[in-house]
Amino acid sequence: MSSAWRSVFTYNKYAQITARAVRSSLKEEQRVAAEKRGLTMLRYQQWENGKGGPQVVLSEEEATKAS
Amino acid sequence: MSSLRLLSSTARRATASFALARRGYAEISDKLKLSLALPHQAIFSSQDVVQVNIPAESGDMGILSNHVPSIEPLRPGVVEVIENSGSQKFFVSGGFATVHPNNKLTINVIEGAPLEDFSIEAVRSGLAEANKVAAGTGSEADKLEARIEADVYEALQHALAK
Repeated sequence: MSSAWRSVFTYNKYAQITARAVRSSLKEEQRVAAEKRGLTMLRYQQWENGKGGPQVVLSEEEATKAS
Repeated sequence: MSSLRLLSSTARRATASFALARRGYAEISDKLKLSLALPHQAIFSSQDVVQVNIPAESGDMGILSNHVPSIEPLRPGVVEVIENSGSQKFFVSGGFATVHPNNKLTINVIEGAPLEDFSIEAVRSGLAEANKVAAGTGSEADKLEARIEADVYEALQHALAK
């Protein structure tokens, strides 16, 4: 196994690429479910004065920004 | 000849006393306990298994109980879990396997599924697509990404062909 990617990608990026390839080769039914959750990278919530704000899923936010 | 006999009898005695004085950690169990976890699901959680074969970066390896503690990075490949009742195969995208001193094995991977959940047609078209991009005129990073994907598809194809 070559590690030629090390000079270009971080390990996280590499893991993301391999995971995406695995997801896309699943059978139709499992693939749809996997790709839905595969998009979630980060969910965050802003706290102010001891109260939690709404939870934002980063991939959804990115999607609305793009559209 | 007699000296040889003497040697073999001392050797036998030595192993017998070694077995008695075997030192280990407290609460060690004789069975390997496997936890195979994905970010969204735990496929195995602390389950007794006989053997686990993992696709480590340094080569495929089989882990039995009382394995020496180690950390192994995994490449995209097949994790085979052998239980008393039979064996199960999972294809994983990569991650880490850790053998703990208390006879526990944890495998953390980003994505993984049983082999029967994969479709050979999807793998073939993915491989063709990745090879096209890798041979194309994209940026170096794009081509490298496609080459990594092609490696995954090839490993999947190999696993599904068996």
